[in-house]
Amino acid sequence: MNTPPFLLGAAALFWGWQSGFWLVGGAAAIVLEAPRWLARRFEVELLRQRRLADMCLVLAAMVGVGCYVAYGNPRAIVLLFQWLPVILLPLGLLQAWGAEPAIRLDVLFWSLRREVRGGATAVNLGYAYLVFWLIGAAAANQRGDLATIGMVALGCWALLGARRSRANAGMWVLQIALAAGLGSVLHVGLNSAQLWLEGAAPDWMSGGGGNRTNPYRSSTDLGSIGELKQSDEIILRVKPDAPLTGPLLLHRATYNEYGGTAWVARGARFAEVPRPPASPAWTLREGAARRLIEVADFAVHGNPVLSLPAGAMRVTVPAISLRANNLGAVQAEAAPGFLIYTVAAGDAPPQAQAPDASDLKLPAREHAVFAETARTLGLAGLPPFQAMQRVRDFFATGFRYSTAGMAAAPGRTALAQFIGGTRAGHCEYFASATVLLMRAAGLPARYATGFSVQERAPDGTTYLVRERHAHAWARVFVDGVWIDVDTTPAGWADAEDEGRPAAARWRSRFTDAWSALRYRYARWQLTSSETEKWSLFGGIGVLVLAWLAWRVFGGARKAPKPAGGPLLPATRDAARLAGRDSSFYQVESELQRRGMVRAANETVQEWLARVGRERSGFAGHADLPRLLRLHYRYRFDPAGLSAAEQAALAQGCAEWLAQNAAPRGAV
Amino acid sequence: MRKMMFRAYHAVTGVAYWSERTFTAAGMLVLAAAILSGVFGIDTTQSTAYRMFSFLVVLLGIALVGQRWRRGRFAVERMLPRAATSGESFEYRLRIKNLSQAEAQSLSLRDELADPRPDYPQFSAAMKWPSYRGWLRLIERNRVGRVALSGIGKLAPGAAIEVRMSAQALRRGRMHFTGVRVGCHEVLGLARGLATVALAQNLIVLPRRYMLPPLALPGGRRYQQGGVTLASSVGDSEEFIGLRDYRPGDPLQRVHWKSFARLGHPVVREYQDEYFERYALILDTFAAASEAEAFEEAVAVAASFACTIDTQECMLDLMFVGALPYTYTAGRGQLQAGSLLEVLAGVELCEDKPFSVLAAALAARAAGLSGGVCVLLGWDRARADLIDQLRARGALLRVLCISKKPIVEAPPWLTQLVPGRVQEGLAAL
Repeated sequence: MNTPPFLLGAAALFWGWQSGFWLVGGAAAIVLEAPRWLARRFEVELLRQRRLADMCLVLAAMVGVGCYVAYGNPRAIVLLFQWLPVILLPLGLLQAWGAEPAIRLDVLFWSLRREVRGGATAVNLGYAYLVFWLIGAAAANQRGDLATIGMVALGCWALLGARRSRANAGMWVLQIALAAGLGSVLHVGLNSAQLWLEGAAPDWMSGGGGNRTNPYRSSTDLGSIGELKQSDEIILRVKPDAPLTGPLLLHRATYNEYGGTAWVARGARFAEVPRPPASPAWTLREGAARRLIEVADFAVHGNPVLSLPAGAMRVTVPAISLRANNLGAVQAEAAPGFLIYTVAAGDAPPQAQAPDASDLKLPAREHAVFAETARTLGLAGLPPFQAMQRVRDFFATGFRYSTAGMAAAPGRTALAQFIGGTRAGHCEYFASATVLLMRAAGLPARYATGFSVQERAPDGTTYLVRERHAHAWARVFVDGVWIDVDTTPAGWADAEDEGRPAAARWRSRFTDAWSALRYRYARWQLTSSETEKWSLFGGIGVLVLAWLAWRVFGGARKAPKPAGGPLLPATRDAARLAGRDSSFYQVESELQRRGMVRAANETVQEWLARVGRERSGFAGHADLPRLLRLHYRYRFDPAGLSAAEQAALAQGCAEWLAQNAAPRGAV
Repeated sequence: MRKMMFRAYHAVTGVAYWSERTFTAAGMLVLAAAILSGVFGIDTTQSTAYRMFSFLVVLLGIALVGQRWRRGRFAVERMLPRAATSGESFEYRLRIKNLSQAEAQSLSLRDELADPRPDYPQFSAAMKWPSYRGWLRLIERNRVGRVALSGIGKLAPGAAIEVRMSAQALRRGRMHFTGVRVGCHEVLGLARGLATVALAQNLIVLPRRYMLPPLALPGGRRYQQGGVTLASSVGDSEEFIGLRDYRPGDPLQRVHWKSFARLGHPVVREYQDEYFERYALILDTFAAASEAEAFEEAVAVAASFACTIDTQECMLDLMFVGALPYTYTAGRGQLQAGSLLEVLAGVELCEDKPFSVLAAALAARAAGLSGGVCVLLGWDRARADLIDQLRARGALLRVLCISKKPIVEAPPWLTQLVPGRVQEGLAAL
């Protein structure tokens, strides 16, 4: 089952078009299709075929690991699949240029190499290789219809070969057209279904975990039963220009409406953040900066919401654009992977749109409890700062931090239970309750999420922010400015740290080391010049290629064989492998010519013995068994003969022929 | 848990068999591409592989619907050889006739063998850890043969054609053919509509044999008490000499009743005593299932002797223990060598009886044995005692032990054969 002419070349060009690597695709197309015009083929030994396959596997593994370190999943998987056809090109060339019409399956699968029983199955790799080119092209993620049409056209081209009869051509075309039509309906449906699912499903289900922030909606764990589990995964690495004197809150998003157990950013519209011409930094607000903070964020899905301190003024970030919503969330348009940005911050309060009626709204289910609490605390009529302080004092006395969730009593909400019953909860309880209590007191308030920076890294200058450092607090509008109010008891991070099992601590050492490795690689990529990068990658590439060349071609030195090079033209290689150029054949011919015809049932050994018995006239007959042994080894021993032994065989035969030379025609 | 794993493996393999039967090579490739693109394109925002997946899935769906209209009606006749040999390829013929009114195009013939999937007791007994790889190994162990798919171009309505099928016998035993599936490709060439013709038949796969050097088995003629039933005319047959008076101890069967009635005292028929060479081919079946490879070698060695020893002039008793101790005798008008091979094709390991059962069975026959060949699966006290007893009774034995482990303090007359290098060992006999 050979691929139709130019199909693989067209697939490689299609890949080049989709991925933008025209040169690579074009070069691959040329080398894959060139055998159609050239008669030369190469016979590659089984061992070397296997090495070639192993080499592709190792290359794929190396590219996969490299992509994972640099970009993480799913970007690494996408890149690996995109480049897989290029990585597998040696196998494609083996199929295209090899003398064999099919490649044995045990070349590709290690598990089959141990299989002894049965004959080895061989397949033509052409069609399978075509599939990899098409998937590689799909990995480029060009969403246009032309890409789909190209893919379908290549598929149909390949399917032409599967048709068994020329009859029913009309039906074939009809069925292909039906498949293309229904296929496009299905793929639109699949895409829509995923988008709907992602929108409808809770955040934890749609992926991303603690590292992904939805600036429009924040689901909370209020009312959840059981222990709140947060991992030790390092989310951010923060490097301030001066050591921190206390925990630093890095804000990501703010929400203004509470319903059920989720906070929503109602009416939050994003707008482009301006960047002054010739300036590397985007300006969030004007003013003098007093400190610089560098934040390294590993954004798995790309387009991360930035983690910014309250007084952030300018952000220098390697992004395509920056946009901010009216509640203070700032999102960068950037590819997945590490994003290292520098924030210039001042002492100004958080910047956000002035409050409106929604910032004073109490949900109907919570209204009674929080209005009653505000009345008990006597918040009505108090000056804003005093009211705020009273609320702080309220949560500071009698409330404790706890990650254990408890079921709310029938008829009570989780927050009502927290305020009037358990008086224990995690930061989401404190933040939500503070916002609603402030609103009950007549102060506009919002719910803010982000991270609390407090764990110093071993190097002393960097701070590590883990997933369990994710935090929530209230933003209260007092005297014309927004103020961050964090009522969660101060020791909450220590409480979370103490509650961790020993196994988790051990595990975090490994994950920390892995995270550090990734971070260093990202920093190196960011800070090194193009020359340095090319030197390193080029050096690794040269080393890998040298190793591969040694693996594929170097085996000949280890196991000397009559065959010389690894890729010999088929006929010459076969003749030499069979030892048909052995000088002993001349001795045999001479004996036959002299009348000593070898019987059909005689081995050469028996024949020589008979010659010795029947005809004593041959000189040097006693040496023939030695020469025969060398001849046999030359023909059948996988290790072959050494150069000295080959010379001895040739010389012995020449001597025998010289001693027994007889005129032509003489018997 | 094991039961669940068994069911899962059973189902997965069943789906694989169904796919193999239903899809053509092109269809299998499209299926593989659909699975690959489906897995890779599961996140539709990251790549456009889901579009490829959609197209291929619909294509396969159309092919599967289309193949339902491509099922013809056929009559099939199978012509098998009498037996096949393990490890060897063989050919046989199928005669297929198109019974439908339409011309059948792009036909493929698949001769179905019995399902090699193990049942739960075998699965449970053979697998300590129920891995899928182990499951596949079990299937391979159960598979007696393999028949290649064969293709035919066209078959006119009512026309018949004879097709040569290629098969390979993988191991000794019974190759059970269940039926023939005649496939007809649908328009896209991805799937085939299958018409199943039930046609059950069996083929015995004989053990493989090794080349033996010219054999001169030791031992002379021995008196065969009571002669040999069904003895042929070749050699010393049971021959009537005359009548004589009864002596205490004579069997009742030999009383000549007519003379008894005439003379009034018991008279018996007297026959010439029979002396001839009688050899035993003793096959040791006592080993664990893990030593199946050595056992197969032992059977192959026994088969090699069974078909090499000339039974024109002597008798050969094949003795082994299965569910019971068995003895099959060849030569002198009894079984032929081919029959012994058929018996050996069905020999199984005996794991539920001690070695002494074989010793006891041999003791009853030892007196008449001139010598023999013992094919053992190890060398221990019980086996050494048995050989010592036989040698003490004067039987001249050639003892072959098939074992990978080196035998400590092996007697000089013991020949060890290493599995995988048995032919070398036999050539040196």
